[in-house]
Amino acid sequence: MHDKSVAQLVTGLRDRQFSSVELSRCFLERIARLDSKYNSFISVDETAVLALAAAADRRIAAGDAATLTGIPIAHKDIFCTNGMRTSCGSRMLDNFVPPYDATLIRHFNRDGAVILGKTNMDEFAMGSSNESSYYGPVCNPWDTDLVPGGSSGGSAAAVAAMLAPAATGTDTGGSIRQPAAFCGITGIKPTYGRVSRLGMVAFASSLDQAGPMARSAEDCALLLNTMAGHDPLDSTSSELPTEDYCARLNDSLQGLRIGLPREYFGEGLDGQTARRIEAALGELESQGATLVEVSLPHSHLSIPAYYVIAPAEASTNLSRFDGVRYGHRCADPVDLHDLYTRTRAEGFRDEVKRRILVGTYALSAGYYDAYYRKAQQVRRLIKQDFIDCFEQVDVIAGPTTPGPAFALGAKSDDPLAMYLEDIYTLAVNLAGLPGMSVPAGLVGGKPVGLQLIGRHFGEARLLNVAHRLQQATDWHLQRPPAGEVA
Amino acid sequence: MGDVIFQQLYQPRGFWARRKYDNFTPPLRPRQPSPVNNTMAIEQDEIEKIAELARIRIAPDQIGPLTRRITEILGMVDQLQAVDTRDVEPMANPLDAVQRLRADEVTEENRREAYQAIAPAVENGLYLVPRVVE
Repeated sequence: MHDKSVAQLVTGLRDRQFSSVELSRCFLERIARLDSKYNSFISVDETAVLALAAAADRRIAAGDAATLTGIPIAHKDIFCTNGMRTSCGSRMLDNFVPPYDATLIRHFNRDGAVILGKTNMDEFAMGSSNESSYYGPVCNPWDTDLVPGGSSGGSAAAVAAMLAPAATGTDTGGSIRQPAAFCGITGIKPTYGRVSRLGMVAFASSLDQAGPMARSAEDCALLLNTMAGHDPLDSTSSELPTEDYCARLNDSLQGLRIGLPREYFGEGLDGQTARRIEAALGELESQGATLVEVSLPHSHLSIPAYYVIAPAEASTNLSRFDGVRYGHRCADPVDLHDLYTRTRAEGFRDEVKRRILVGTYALSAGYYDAYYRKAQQVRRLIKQDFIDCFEQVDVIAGPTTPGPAFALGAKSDDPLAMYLEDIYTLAVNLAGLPGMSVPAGLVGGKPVGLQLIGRHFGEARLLNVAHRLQQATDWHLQRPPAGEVA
Repeated sequence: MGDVIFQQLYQPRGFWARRKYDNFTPPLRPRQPSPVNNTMAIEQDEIEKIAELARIRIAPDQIGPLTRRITEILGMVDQLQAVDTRDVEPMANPLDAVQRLRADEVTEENRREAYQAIAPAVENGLYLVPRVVE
């Protein structure tokens, strides 16, 4: 059961080949047996899982099932779950049990999906290797000496190791796409505002977006159908109607124009990774798509613009952690100042502290125009590059990352080297566009991803291109070595 | 399997035939703080001031290493200063959306007890903090 797609599991549940309780027990057993190797889950509550599964079975028996009723899904530990700890990978929230559900969780509950557990992540989603978690690093199921990518590293590893059929993640600068690429799975970051941010612990509010991570584009589409939609409680949530993301999966690619930004294939891209991207694009070309060279002339500015805007927004968002209302509080504070400064010194780890300080600096009196305003102006130039490209092409494609997964510890002491990992993904968040990563084969036994970028609210087209690619290739069916995931 | 087949089938042409990938070089290191804007050379006492603004206590032996790290990050960010952004409107929201307003109606239920149940210290419905007024 564990190696079936979500689509196959939906059919199996509906045809009573197995129950949700049986399915959930299968994944609980795998997590208990295997996750000591990967550390992909922070919290798993077996009793709650089986209660949800039993309720789903009753719903299926009553003929009242939605598509995902009874499907176990792992959630990044950034989404608030009523009555279940939501740590965000931080000591600051190690004791935080939310009194409400994130809108995304409410949507999955409405459809009767089973919350399988909460997955490990970089602290407050700040990182590209899942090494900054308070709960320890996650290991890549393809080779446990490698990072799984981050910040949604636990979700990616859990899906790749078949400890969950699918998972949710969040992506502020590449945190769904990069771990999806490193772990050989499929993940999509929808357009900014497509999925509600209510109850998703905020990192950078103008960039954060939640999306599905699964083993195929079709499975991502099934999850996105449940996740997407307007939320009156999130003032940045889009009011545009959603669509059935499964409806156009099989559309022909005849006449599709795919733009290849020359900046994404130049210096810095690993040669073998480039050849995998080339093979994937060749397949799309053989299905009738046309490859067009395009340019994103400001793309080299996405790292500096991002590392002003994201830390600035983070420093504001994370000011709420004060040791007064919830979360960590230092012992025996002598006065209010001591309470604040020691609580925050103890609760946050180094990368989070660095970003809060950079953001505080960028927003401080006298520097605001030189940093924050300037970065917001460059952000518009970066977005305009994409708007110009989409006058010529329907979809933009390139590598998700400069190369395959790197070794644990290789970059953990060098923030700037770590930031460069997101060179191809950051601009998509700055522009608010949908982007996805699709497996494109292996480099030295390690997976790499093809990145697809669409127009605003063009998720269905991206999923269509990815699905057609997966109908003709088997890269998404490649699994980690049996010794690692048996 | 798919890999092998596509390696064999696909011959680079057009755009692809012109590209060379074999000379892999690691991404460029960000350049050092530039003289364009001398505010980039951040001093230790500035880090202490920023940490105070952010209400994060930094151990004395960490101030030096932290200052170097943040100087590196700001040096990388300094690339922005070279960009001509005259007449470019700053973009705060990727969809240029404006704040949506709702009707001025009470929609929230009172959940004080649920919220205070997860607080570090409360008494009689109030959050407890160290004494502020002597």
